[in-house]
Amino acid sequence: MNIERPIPFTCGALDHVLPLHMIIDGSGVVRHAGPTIQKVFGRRKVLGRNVFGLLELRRPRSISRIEDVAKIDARRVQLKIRDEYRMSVTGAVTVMPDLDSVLLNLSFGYSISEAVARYELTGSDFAPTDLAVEMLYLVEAKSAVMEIATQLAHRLQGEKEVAQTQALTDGLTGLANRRALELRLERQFLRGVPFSLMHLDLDFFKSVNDTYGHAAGDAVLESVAQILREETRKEDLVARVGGDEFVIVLDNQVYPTRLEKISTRLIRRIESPILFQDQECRVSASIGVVPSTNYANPDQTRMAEDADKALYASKHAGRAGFTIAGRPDVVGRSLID
Amino acid sequence: MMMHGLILWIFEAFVRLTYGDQVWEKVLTDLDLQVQSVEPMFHYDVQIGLSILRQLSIEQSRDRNSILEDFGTFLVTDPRVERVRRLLRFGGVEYTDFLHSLEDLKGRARLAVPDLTLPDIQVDEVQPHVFQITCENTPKGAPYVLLGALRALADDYGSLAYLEILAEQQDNAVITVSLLERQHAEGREFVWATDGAP
Repeated sequence: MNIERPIPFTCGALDHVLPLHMIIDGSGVVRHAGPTIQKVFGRRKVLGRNVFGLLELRRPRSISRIEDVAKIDARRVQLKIRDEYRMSVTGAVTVMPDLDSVLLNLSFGYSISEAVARYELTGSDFAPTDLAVEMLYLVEAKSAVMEIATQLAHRLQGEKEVAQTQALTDGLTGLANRRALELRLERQFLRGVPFSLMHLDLDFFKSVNDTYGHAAGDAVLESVAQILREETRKEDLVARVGGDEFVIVLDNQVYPTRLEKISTRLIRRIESPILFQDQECRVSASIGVVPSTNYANPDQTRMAEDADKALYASKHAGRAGFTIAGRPDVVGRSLID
Repeated sequence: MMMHGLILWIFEAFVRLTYGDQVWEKVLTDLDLQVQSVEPMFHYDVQIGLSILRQLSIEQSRDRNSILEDFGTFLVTDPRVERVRRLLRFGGVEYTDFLHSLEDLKGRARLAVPDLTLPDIQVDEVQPHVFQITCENTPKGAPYVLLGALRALADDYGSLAYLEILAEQQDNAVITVSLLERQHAEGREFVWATDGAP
């Protein structure tokens, strides 16, 4: 069939197939508009109006008179609706020379969701072949799936945080574990803030276990943990690293007098009897402390060894005491209480 | 045979919201399943879904098909799962359009969630206002979910219809819909605009 051959067509037929079309005459006046066009412009008059008063041509921008439309060789024009929403629409134009008119058919493209909301459109406002409904359906489905995915991401994040906390926590006392201590010390050395490393070992713990049983032992560990938490600051770290061994990182705390005070108070509080099922459990603690300022270049292994040595010095000196490791250049003068 | 987690996930929502969290948790505990809640993006063995349903029916002393029908009603009527209703209502402006659109349900669902397989549905208007909906490749019981949803949607559109399951076999079923009145009542408002639109 010759594509130039005119065929008879009614406006009603066009309305059905292209509900978003307009027929514009040679002077730019809208002579006919599809039902959805009427709906979009609401109470505004469409027929008899100049098309450039209703729509703003964005691309190609050079056209401002309907006579120039014939010169458009682009198959696609971008327009904006002249109303308060200034929504983008895509148009296809074709000149109908016999009628001295232009046929313009519109589509909302990516503005579809917004258009449906603004102009209160429904499925019957679109041509059956228009993918508008499928598009709306997809937007809806996508939003639902996004919601689910977002919930999932939040739940996973929460579970990850719980798992991380558990991996760094001592199950019995809720204190940090050895792994958390190692991470903290790595960071502590990187930060370069002075700190002290305190090793604390319970005395007479074995006899509590032997006399009153493991449940009593656990109760003692829990209440010692509570004391350590109460006697340290939030920026310090308290870790349980063995059966009855604890390590405390005292951030920015290196003065021997302060360290002595802390140690004395810890021992005194740990020595007060701990009640377990009407039994008084008595333990004490030996402490060894080493400040990072003892070293020109503090080193993790060395500090840990020196803290251990200080702890054993306390043990040898008769337990229930503390030792602050002195500077290596004053070896032997440990400040034993 | 596997089923999409989305289906079991929304069934979990139905059980939790209708019967309470304790009922869901008890069913899973009684079955000694390792999971406590369903992951919507996973796939599950159909047997897990069926055993949950069986246990729930024992727990609630209700027959399985009526639980499934309630599930279908829930999908359309409960505001907490409004999206499902919306996705269904996009099928047509009127109830009859909607019924015909059931043939596209599988394709549309696949457009949104490629690994979600819904039953093959064929809709025939066997005489004026009487529709026969043939579901094929359906897991057992699934037609009852559809029955519940279609009944609720008739209300949603404001239509008066009589629905029943005509025949049910192992993996297919026929539902008949007799449309008594197209516009019987006002129906529930359906706004085409998506929430996400500005």
